[in-house]
Parts: sequence; C-alpha cells; structure tokens
Amino acid sequence: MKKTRIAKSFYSSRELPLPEAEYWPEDAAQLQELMVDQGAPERPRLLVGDGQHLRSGLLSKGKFDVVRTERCARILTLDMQSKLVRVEAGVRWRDLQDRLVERGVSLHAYALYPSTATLGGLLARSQPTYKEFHYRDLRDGCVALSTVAPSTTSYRYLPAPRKASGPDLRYLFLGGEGMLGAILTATLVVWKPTQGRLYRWNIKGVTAAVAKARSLFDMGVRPSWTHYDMGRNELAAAVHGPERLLGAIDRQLGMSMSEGLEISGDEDVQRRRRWLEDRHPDRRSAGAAPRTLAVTLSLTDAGLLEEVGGAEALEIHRFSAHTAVAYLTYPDVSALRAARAGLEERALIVRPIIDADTVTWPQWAQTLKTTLDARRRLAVGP
Amino acid sequence: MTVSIANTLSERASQAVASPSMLRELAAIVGDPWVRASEVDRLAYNNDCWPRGIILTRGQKVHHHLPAAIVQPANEAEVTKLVQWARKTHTPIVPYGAGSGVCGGALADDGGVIVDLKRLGRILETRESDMTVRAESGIIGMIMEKELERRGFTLGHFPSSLYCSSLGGYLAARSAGQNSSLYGKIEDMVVSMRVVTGAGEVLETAADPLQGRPRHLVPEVGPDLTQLFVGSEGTLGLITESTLRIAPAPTRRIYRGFQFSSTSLALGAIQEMMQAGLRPSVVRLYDAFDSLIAGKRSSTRKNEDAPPWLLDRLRTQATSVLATPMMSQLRRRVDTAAKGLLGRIVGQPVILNNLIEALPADCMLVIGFDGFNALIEAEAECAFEILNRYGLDLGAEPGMHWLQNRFNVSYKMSPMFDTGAFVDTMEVSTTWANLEKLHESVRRAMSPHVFVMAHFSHVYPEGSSIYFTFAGFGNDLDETLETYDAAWRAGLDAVANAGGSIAHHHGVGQSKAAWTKHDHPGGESLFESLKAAFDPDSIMNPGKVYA
Repeated sequence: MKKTRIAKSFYSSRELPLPEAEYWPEDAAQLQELMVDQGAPERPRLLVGDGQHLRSGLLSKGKFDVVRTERCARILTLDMQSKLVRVEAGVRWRDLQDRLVERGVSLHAYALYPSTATLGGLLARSQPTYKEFHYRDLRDGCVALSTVAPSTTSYRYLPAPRKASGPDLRYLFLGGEGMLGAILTATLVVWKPTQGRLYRWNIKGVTAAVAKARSLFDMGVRPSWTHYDMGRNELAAAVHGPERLLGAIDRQLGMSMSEGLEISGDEDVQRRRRWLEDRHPDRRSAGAAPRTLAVTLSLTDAGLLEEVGGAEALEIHRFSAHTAVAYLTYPDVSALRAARAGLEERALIVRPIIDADTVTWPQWAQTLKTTLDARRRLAVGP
Repeated sequence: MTVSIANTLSERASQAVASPSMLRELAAIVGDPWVRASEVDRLAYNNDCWPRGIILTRGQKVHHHLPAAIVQPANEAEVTKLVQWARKTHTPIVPYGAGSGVCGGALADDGGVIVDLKRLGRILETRESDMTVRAESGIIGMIMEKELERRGFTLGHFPSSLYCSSLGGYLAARSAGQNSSLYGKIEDMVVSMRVVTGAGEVLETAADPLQGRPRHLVPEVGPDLTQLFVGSEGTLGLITESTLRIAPAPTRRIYRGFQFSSTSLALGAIQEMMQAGLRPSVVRLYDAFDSLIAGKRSSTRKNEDAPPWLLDRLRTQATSVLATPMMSQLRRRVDTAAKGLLGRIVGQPVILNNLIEALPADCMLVIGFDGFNALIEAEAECAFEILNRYGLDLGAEPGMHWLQNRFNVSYKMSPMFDTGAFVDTMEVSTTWANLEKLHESVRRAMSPHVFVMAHFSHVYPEGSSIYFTFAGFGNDLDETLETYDAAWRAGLDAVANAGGSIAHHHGVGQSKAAWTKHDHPGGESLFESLKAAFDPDSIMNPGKVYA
C-alpha cells in the first residue's frame, strides 16, 4: 500500500509541497485503516484525491505523507428504485458519470465540476453558503456517507431523506477539507436519463447576464447547470425534464426571452458539459490557476465584477436566484492581488485557486481537532 | 431496545426555585420586567406541545418540568450576557421560541432557566435583488409569511403550526412545511445564522449577503457551521438571527385529488413523478385508515382532510366487509365517541387496527403545483399524466378543499385529551425501496397499543416521509402514560430496525433522544466533540438530542 517513489510532477503541477511518502489504499476499508489512530503517530497524513481543491495554507508545518484515494473508486450499490448509488469517494467525477450511464442512470442534474476531481475531494472542499435544493449541488445530492476520524470509530449517516435527528453530522466532513477525517463512501441521488435542452443567449456584460439568469429563475425554470463566458458573450443554461415540459419552456422563452436565443438538444447539452468540465477553472493544475480568483457574490453585488475590472477572462459557473460563483483570470499575480482587495469589500467569498493563505484557526476548530484527531494524524488543521 | 421513555425523563417535580440573588443577576442583564419566576409563569413553561406533557397536565401533574425562571432578552447582547452568566453560575439554559415543539425540546429541568426569544421578533431586511430575508429568531411564522406576502414574496415554509411557531424553532428542529417538495425544508432555505454559542461567543455561521462584514465573525476555515447548528435544538448555542432564501409569491395554483386502489400503487406513481424531475409544491397521500377517521370528523362537520366521496365509500366498504357482530360493536363505539367518549374507542386499538386490514386499500392523493405561468400548467400536466396511469383523477375539489383547510389540523388535537385519550404523531423517513416495509413495520409494532393511521408527505426523488398519527387511551393517568410510552417505544424501535430515520421534521427533543444513535451510527462521539467545541460547560439545553 505504501509507495516511496513519488510522481513529483503531480505535486508541482498543483503547486503543492512534496510529501515524504505516498499510500495508495485499494478500497475504502484500507483507507479507513490508514486513518485510524493506532499507537504512536507517524508523520501526519494528507488525503489527496486529485489534489485540485487543497488549500496548502491549511497544512500543518513539517513533513507529511500523502494518502492517495483515487483507487478507492468502486460502485458499491445501485438502488434503481430509490435512484441512489453508493460509491467509494475516490472515484473521479467523469468516470462516475460514464460508468453510471453504462448502468442506465445519469448525473445530468448536477452542476458543473472539474472532470478529474474525485467525489471525496468535491464533497470535502470548502464551500460555505452553498446548499442548494433540487440537487444541483453535489453536497445536496449526497444523501448519505460514511466517514472515519482518527480518534473515533467510523460514522455512517443513514440514507433517509432530510432527517431532523439533531445536527447534520455529515457537515463535519462535507466542506471540512479533510481536517477531521476522511469521507470513505458517499450515496448520491442519480437520475433516469432524461431529455435535455441547451438554451444559449448572446449577452454582453456580467450585469446583463445576471439579469437574464434571474429572469429565467423568476419564470420558474430550474436549470441543471448554467454558465456564462464573458469572452464568448454567452450565457448557457441546460434544462432537463419531460419533453412536454421542455416544449413549454421553449415556447415561454420564445415569447419573453427570445432576443439572442439559440436552442439545441440533448447531444449539445452533453457535449457542452464535457467541454466545460474538462476546462473547469476551479483546478490547481489549470494553466491559469495562479492568476485566477474564485469569487462568490450575492446577485445584489454582481456588478462588482465589472466595477473592479482588470480580468482578462471571466466565467460564471453557477447561478442561483441568490448568488453566483465567478472565476476571474488576471494577466498576472499582481493584478490578481489588486483585484482581490477590491472584491473582498463586498463579495461573500474571495479565494485564489492557488491559495496558500495562512489562516487563524478559531478556538472551536482547535477543540474539534483535538477531540477528533487527538494525535494530529491528519496534516490539515491547527 | 430496552430503553424506557419514562426512565429517560426527569418526571420528578423540580422544586428548584430561583434564589433572590439569581433573580437580581438576571434582572441586571435583561431588566426586571423581563425576568419571570412566579409559580404561574413557571407553570406556563412547564410543557411545550409534547403530548406526554399534556397527558401529565390533564392528569393534574403539573410540576414535571418547572424552570427556575424565565428570562426574555431583547437583543443579542443580552443573550450573550445570559450565556456568560450561565457559564459562570453553571446554570442550564433552554432556548424557547413559541413552545410549539412536540418532542419536549424546550423543557427545563434541574433548576434550568428558560431563555424566551419572542422579543427578538423583527424582520430586519428583505432584499429583492438577491431574494433574501433576514429576521430575528423569535418571529412567528405566519407574521413573517404575511409580511413577505405583502411584499410579493414567500418563504415557502408552511408547517401546520404556522400560526404558533417561530423561526428559531424551525431552524433548531429542522422543520418542514407542507410545500417542502418545491421549496425544501428550513435547512434548504437558510443561508447563514448568527448564533451565540454555549461558550458565550457570537458567530456568523457563513458569509451573509445581508450582513455587513464583520468578517472576523465568519470562520474562514473548518466545517460548514450552518448545517451543524441547524437542528442542534439549542444544544450548541442560541440562534439569534438568520438569513434565508425567499421566492416570488406564486400567482398560479393548480391543486388536484387522485384516487388509487392501493397505497403501493400510489407510492409508485409519486416515485415516478418525483424521479422525472417534476416538482409539485404539495404531495400528500392518505392511507385508507387516515381517510376513515377523517370521515368521522367530517360527519360532525368539524374538520376534513379527505373528500366526502372517499369517506362514504370507505364507510360502505367497511360495512360490507365486517362481520355483523364486529360492525355493530364498531357502530356502537363510534356513536359513543360522537357523544364525547372518544377515548373509549381508541382504547380498543386492536379492533380498529384490524378494520384497516379488512378494508379495501383505497387511498387518496392531494397534489398541488405553485407557479406563475404556462410552465406550471405544463409541469402539472406531465405529473397528472403519470398519476392517471395509476389512479383516477378526481378534479380540483379535493385539492382546493385541502388548501383551504390546511392549518386546521394542528388545533384539533387538544379536545381529544379532554376525553382521557391522547393523540400524537411520529414523522419518519426512508428511501422509496424501504418505504412500504417501514410503513408496515411501524403499523404492526404500534397496533397493539394504539390505533394508527398515516399519510405520506414531504416526498423527494429518493424517498419520502411517513406521518403516523396515533391515538390511545388509559383508564387513569398511570395507564395512559404506560400506553403512550409503550406505543412510542414500539414505534421507534420498529423504525430503527427497519432502517428508517426517527425524525423528519419534528426534531428529537427529549422524546426521541434515546433513538438518535440509530440515525447516526457512530455519531455520538462526533456530537460530543461539537459539544466540547461550542458548549464546553454543558449548559446548553441538557438532555436533548442525545440521551
């Protein structure tokens, strides 16, 4: 399981520090073994899926080993009646999509995510404020999971919808960035393959794009995913549903939002999803990553993206009726820093993709760490 | 499962009375008029809407959960000082909203002080540009909804207790409203909360569009605190404000009733509809027994959840299938009940539960779509097409009738207790594949103790909740409590064994605290770590959530 020769390019391409050694568990059971606190601590361990969303500023100082999770990628169960799939968390997002299509179900209703990212990484990355109903967000579609923290036995969240039995303990791990433990398996809602429609508008400027997206939501349309590309002046929205409903949306948009509108079918939806997910800006290994900021804004403040200016590329990968997540790429790092200062005034979250900011850990986080990872077996955290 | 509910409760009369020095210290924080410690005031907070407490109260046992005092802070600063005082004096504190919880989640024992948050009752800001509202925790649901409607919005949260429940209570217990299939539960609506932790610190659980920075209050690392504080039932801190997503108020409503020849068939239709990506606002499937009981109520013109046609039919069918001696016995008992002795009939649960076994399994679905334009008509048509393949379209009347009467049911339960009987509800959830097994297991387990009916509501692509209503009777207080506890124990054990969740939207409180571990295998140590982080002195609502 332990591997001493390390592919240095994996870390250098992601601007991550090199570990001393790598562990490659073959399945969730081996991963769990590696996480449990057994006797004297060795070097702290860092969980790495595809390494796209790690914040190196959260790493504890000193040497560490890496546990690579991507071999933990089995589909464990598929409940066709409840449309739930249970998988090991090391599975890559694109692989999971393809393998489920072979089994007659689909992940088409989810938002756009980097294709190489692992499920565990996508679930564990920090993403406060983003709980979305209607299953666009992976965290929302993840109805159950199993985890392990070094100082405790494993934890399993029952796959029953929307429980009210105390705090949602999943969220110690969802968004927890691997600080308190590992996500071993996850149970996701999947869908019967359904017709899709791609609606595209030629729109110039963020403010106009936000207004258009907002009109779409106000009309009652629930897109599976949305995307705005300032370079192409294009807002795209993919919608899935029964053909009769899609026909009604065609007519409604034709009546009230027809200017610059192009409509295409399911093949285009699938093709565009793959294209966008392969080039997703939220990846440390993306060429422009050192010059890219991820910015979450209230729609009220979306105009700020234009006010601050200076970006050579701007994409919005998520719209809701409330917020948007934009990726702004600047000509160089100094331009990024200047823009960041201007955005932090009003944006909800501003985060460089290559984020090495050191953080101040609040007292409560330190206590959580002490109770769940007493020997500091995990490399993330205070 | 051998845990006895009675054993988990502190039923002894808590005689802890606030000392003069305690009252002085509390008055120094909130002002003298807002500290209440008279016998009458303490009795008023002796119980929330937990039916077990109502049974005790009707049995004239009124000193079962007396707080030492009640304080009513006006703002977050006072709440913070109260928590700091509680830490210093090691006094348990219990957050209290409108007191509409049904699980004993807002009860104080052992000299605890109730922190009643009703004075924090303002809507602070509503913003159309990003469809958010920020409000204080003590605001009553209907007051908030009316104000939002006046401005053209809706929160979309319509629990049947809307008139008598508070925003803080919704958040504390992960509440669901009747329109949850479209708008989600309260945890889907909340963007961020402001909480005073048990450590006496103020936190914003996430960056908030309606809150001008102080960024230092928003954690930049660590787990998502919003979803950890939602549902914590005051065991980690007090929620003082929250920002929630809102939606445009719908201008078009399409409501219908459908009849199905079996629950199984109806559930299959609903499952197909939800997995097709359709989003009705309301989905409520009543089992045959639920409809039969509603029929009795209909005949006395008090309340009705099911349409007359179905009730008549069920009564006719019941008459035709039951043996004459059993029928006459039943008729006699129904007549007795109509004369105000309902308790006697619910004291014979085996007969009534057998009735449903003998009945044809006809059931009724109420379904509603809320929207704005032709899209909602198309979405409803897609759904009705699926439902028509399995059942019979009854037209708009049953749906509209339900819509007009939807808040009645919460206020109809209390008179039952006057007869010596009790009625309670248990809301559980599971996946589609496990739903009928769960339904059957719980019915079978509870049947010897109480008579049980159910409806299925709050449906999702992966599963549904089941809302069991059950009624029982005892000849005296002790027997009533024994029956009540035995029914709950049997029901929750059955849920746990069948792999369902013990709570979908009422929370845990005291009543289900011994069963929480079944929903979260291995979770107790995680909860303890949260307590260590946010409530280091264990002063926050002790005895709730986990027992």
